[in-house]
Amino acid sequence: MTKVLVVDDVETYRKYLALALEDENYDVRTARGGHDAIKIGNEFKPDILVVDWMLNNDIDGIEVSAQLEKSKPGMETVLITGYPSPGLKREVLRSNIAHFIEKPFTLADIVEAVDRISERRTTRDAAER
Amino acid sequence: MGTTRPKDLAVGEQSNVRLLQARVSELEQRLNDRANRRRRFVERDQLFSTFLDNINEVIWMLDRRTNQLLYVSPAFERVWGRELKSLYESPLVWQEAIHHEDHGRVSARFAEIWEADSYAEEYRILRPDGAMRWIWDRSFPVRGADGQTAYMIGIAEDITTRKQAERDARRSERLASIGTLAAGIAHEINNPIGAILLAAEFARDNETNPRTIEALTDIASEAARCGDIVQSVLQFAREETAEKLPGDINDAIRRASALVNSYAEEWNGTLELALGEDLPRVSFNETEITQVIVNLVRNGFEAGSSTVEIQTRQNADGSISVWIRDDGPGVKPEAVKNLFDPFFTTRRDKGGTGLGLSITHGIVTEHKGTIEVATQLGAGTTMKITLPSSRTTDTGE
Repeated sequence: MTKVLVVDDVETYRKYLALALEDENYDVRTARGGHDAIKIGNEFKPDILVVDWMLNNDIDGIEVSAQLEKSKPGMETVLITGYPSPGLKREVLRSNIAHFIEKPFTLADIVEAVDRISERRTTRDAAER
Repeated sequence: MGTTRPKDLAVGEQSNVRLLQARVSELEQRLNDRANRRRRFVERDQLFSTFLDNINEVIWMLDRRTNQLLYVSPAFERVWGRELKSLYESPLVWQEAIHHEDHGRVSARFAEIWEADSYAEEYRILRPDGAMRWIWDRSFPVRGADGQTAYMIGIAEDITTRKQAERDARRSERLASIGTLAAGIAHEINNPIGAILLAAEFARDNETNPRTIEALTDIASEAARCGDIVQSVLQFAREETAEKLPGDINDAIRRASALVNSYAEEWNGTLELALGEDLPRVSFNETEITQVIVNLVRNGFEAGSSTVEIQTRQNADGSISVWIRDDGPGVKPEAVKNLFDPFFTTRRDKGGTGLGLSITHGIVTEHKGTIEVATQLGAGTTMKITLPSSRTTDTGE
């Protein structure tokens, strides 16, 4: 089962993202902040990280992604942001973040992005075997 | 003196002749002086006329005895757009031109000019060509020998440019404060709206009763609409400046027109391009300028225009102007001054948020450009955007 870590400081977002992804048969964990995400992620080793860029007074989503990739190479990230400034877009381009989703998003947007990454990984893993 | 003394004249007669000669030369001298003085007067008079003919201020002079205008300088024709002759024929022409909202105040103050011994008013006039001008009109008493005021000398100055600059500054200030407030609210409600959206969708996806599904779909789509408005507000209020690169403005316009062609079809309208050739490069952010063009063209079609034309041209100073001209119903005069205010819309019932033009204004201003509206009821609206050439913006920073 593909493992997904959902990181958002808004509880409602965490809850429904997790529920929707669980409905699609993903193994989901959640974290409320950047440090929390790194702690949980280092142990959980997610295949996919769904993370909000701005995490209330904590290290941001791009940093969380970079840190977790060290303990789980090949992990892919879906970054969520309500403030898609040109500066942020440039930063995202420089990072290895695969997907960039602007608020307000729908559950379908996130599930679709995660599904796409997951399918690609499955195909690639099958080809490697 | 070159005259020879006659040999046969007596001594006494000789002295008489000398006296006469002296008298003649004295008279000659006086005549010369008078001619010189007159020439100086004429010269000064001409100089003064030249001065009065050429200054932009309208100088006027009022006689206390008759309460009539003694003089009005020719600048009157340029500022008022009316013939000077018409003013001498009917002094009321002056006041008839005053904007109806200012008329009562100005004529009341003017009626008290002798009691008050002065007069200073700002007012608007309407020219026969329909243009409005702001006038600053004030007078100074001229005392007679008895120390009483005998005349009033007045100066009426066209201060339209200054007034417009003041209005623009006030508008920018107001927009900035509204922007700050709106952004604060938008930041706060962004997350709750997103949460409503997610919860409604989740509930819908897990529901089987079709009526409940429909209700949850409505909640989700309305929440999504709130989210879009919040995004617009955040964009309007954003402080970060977008990256600008020198380029051909026509490229952005072609891209925008490809985007709005679907609108044109939807509204059964035609979009026409009249793009100038070999335009100098201007610095702009393509996404933002595209958005500006899309906003303005869409406004044109949504207002009911059948044709919207985009024209580009280079100005003498190297800047570039873009005209977006429609043949729609035009904007009511009282709505024009609020046109760029956030949340001001004449189409709220049709889903307008009133953010399009304020975002447009913000983007253009941020490009160090200007946006002007010319509109006439029943004849259409023209939006003119002027962007400085990339050379002037580069040196300006």
